[in-house]
Amino acid sequence: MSVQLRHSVHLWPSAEQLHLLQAALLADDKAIRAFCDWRAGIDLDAELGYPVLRLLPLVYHNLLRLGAKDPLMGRLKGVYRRFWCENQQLFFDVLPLVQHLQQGGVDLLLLKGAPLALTYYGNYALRPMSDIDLAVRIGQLPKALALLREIGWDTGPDPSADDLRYQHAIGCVRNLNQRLDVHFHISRDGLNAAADTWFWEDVETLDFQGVMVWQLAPTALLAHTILHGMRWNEETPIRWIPDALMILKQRGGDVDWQRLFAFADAQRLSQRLALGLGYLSEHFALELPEAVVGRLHNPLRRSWRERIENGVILSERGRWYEHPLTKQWVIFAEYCGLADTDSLLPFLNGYSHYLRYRWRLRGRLEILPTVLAGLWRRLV
Amino acid sequence: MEQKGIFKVNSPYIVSELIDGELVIMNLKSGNYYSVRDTGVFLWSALEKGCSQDEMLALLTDVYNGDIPSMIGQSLLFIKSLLDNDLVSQAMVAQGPNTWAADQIMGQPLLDKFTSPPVLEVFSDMQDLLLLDPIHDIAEQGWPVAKPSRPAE
Repeated sequence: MSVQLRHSVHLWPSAEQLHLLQAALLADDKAIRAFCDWRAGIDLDAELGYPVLRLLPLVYHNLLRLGAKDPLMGRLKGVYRRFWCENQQLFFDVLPLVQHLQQGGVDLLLLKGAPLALTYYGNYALRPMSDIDLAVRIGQLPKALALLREIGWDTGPDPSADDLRYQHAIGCVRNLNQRLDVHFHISRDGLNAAADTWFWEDVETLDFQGVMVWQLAPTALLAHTILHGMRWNEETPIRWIPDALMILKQRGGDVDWQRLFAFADAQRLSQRLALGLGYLSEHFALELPEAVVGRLHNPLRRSWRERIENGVILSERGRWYEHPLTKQWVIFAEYCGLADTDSLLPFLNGYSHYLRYRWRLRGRLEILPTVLAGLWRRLV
Repeated sequence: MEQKGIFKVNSPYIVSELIDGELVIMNLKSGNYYSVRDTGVFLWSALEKGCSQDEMLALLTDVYNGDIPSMIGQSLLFIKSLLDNDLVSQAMVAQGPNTWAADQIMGQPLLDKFTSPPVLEVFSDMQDLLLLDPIHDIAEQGWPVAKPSRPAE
């Protein structure tokens, strides 16, 4: 599994973050030792960063269960209390919105933090989140946005056909401090009807403060969680690790691994899925079915598009933006993930559409003059 | 059928959780945050289970050793503070036998001495509290208790 470590920092947890994750997740004295190692390796006076901060309630919960005595426990308890309050307030504030959309006839699927907190952690403090993510069927998006505007949400301009094709969600705000992500594609890693259908076919009910909505069932939720984490970010994504482990701990027996890998293969996501599962297996002794272990050790040959896309997604984004040419490579890699064909002419045709969209041009006829103007600026 | 007066938690906007022996209560409408310990936790738990005021006080004096008039007086003040802060309301329900034994009221061992009176500690204005860095701006006992030298922004 050490192939994972070839990828850059800010994709995998640092040594300190791994200690903290172990303090949060291991079930015995190893957790306390990991916490001591974490404390020894960090400067408490420095900024810990949001990814670390929002892991601390889980650390406190685990250490308390293990009877740990540490001078820092008072502050950890404080972090726990604070996130408990934040999530209680967030859910209370968002309830009228959920009721309004549902009464308006919109099918609502809650994503990420809210269903994880309610169904899998069973605790308001253990899964901090800064906003609510919900998904609607793409055909119901105009209705959903109109309903949101009715109750004072700023949904921005209506999405264009290209936005619906190349984006996955709309960020909405209210009163400056309330935020909501409305997904019209369930995952940013599957901006196509087949992926949406796959997710929507694997949902179950969720009681959200007395309102029945949808949440992803374990197989789809595991895919969503791991793929969301397997993406380079300036702040290392670590939240996916306890989330995925919690899904597997609570409902691992309900995961349909064959369906999961069939989806990943069809969407060219199997390398990232395997990387995530491999990491959990290596660092958290996750026991996986034999067939899954076989897939991790003998991956399918990846397509050229998956290799190009992952080359960008899994590596430091800033490096690609240092040079105008490599910046354009990012756009090409993005399109490799979006394209639904390997045939040359349809691929190039689609790519020219995507370039026009990303460069904000009025038509594809402007592409060549834009390229020439760019070259002229740099050469002359 | 005879009726008895009880207290009901003002849900859904009043939420609470017992965290390592400390009861945390939050008013989601006002943004006020409350902390309750020891005997206050006992009284809240009895209240949540539908005990009337007389039943709560009987259970309290049954469990704790101390000066009974003082215990009752302090407990009544505590219940009044819960009502004044809109955390609970009075309600009438059909009188039934109180099936709660004192040791069933809380899910943890009880002290046998009435060592500290029940107190409702109030932290007002959640928006200010949330601005505090929960590691660096905070005293040893943790958020929401700010360091004395650093008031909320």
